[in-house]
Amino acid sequence: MTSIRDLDGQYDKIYRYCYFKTNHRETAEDITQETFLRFWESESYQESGQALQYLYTIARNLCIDHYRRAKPSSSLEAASDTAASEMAAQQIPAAEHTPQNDAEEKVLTRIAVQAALAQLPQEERELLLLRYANEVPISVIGALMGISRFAVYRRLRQASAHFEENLKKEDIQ
Amino acid sequence: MNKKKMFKEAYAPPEPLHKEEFLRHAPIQPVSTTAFILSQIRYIRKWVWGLDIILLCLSLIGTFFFRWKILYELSAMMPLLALTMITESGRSEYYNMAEFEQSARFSLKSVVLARLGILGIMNVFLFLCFTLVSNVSMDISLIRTGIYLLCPYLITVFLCLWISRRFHAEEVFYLCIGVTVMVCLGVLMLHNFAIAVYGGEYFVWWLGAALLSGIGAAKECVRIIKQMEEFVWN
Repeated sequence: MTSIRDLDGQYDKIYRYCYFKTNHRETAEDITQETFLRFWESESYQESGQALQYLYTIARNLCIDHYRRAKPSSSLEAASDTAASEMAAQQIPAAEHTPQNDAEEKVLTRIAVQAALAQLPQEERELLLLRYANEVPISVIGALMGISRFAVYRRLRQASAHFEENLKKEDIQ
Repeated sequence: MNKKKMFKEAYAPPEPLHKEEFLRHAPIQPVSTTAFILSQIRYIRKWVWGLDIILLCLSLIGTFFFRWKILYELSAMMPLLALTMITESGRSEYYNMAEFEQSARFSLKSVVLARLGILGIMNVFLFLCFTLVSNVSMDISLIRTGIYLLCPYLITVFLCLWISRRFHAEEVFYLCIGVTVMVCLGVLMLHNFAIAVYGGEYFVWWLGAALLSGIGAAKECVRIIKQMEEFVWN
């Protein structure tokens, strides 16, 4: 990606990433917008083929800055742990009110998936979000996390295995 | 369940509140010259690429499988390459898109020059291939082979550019096709009825014709570019 072509789609992905990190709608959106503003300020990365990596690096650093400024004692890990458990919890009432069976099943599956995710370590959850929800290429994830492509593949396999184990515990396959 | 879909749903955040407003004020992304030129490739019609590939395949198969002397046939086909280039450069005008393109991000001149550049590179590549392939079965120098191929091409380019500047819209397309067919037939007739003109003693005439039509085509190009600038100012 030499420049951000699908701006709308990338906005959603960065927002999803920031929400995962902060678990706060307004904060996540503020950070997303700040990320894009900073990205546009720097022209050097936009044409160097590292635009996506740069975009995620800005977003991650801004999330870290936000937590350093706001609460010195709190951490991103704690925020995203809370986010994961809250995400799972928020869905439960919706399941009770869904009238159709297939829709109910869908909601139940989502709850189980979120519960299984909530039991994973923060790094594994982030990896699964980047790779599967945001469809970030392996090379970009590697550069973002400072690890090799092979390490990304290995950790992804591990995270997927842990996730499936948790999902079995939730009795959904 | 699809893994990507499953995680997208699981990680779904609440709807952003100010997304539309923010994206409305987003700056236009800068595009590098290379990216802009490459973006024009997809606007070139498929039959142009198809014709180029067919001619290349025919020349290779004819020379290496059937051992044909295909210089004369290729020489007669060269005006078709010129036609693809001219019609592609003027396409926006034929379809009354000139104003639309001018009002968009890039000037019409940039768009036309980018497309001409792409097709020019493709034509130079094909010309070099045809010269080398034709020379395999001929006992003449590579330069002479090249000039026999280049001459009909440049004559067609010159005549079509002249027509493009003098006439307007749909007329240009049909007139250019007419001129191209005439040049093609002319070259084929030379091969069938006056093969002697391909002899060494007439080479100077071929060279002269190629040079004159080349100079003429270059002048027409400059005039067309100037005309485009006037068009913008008007």
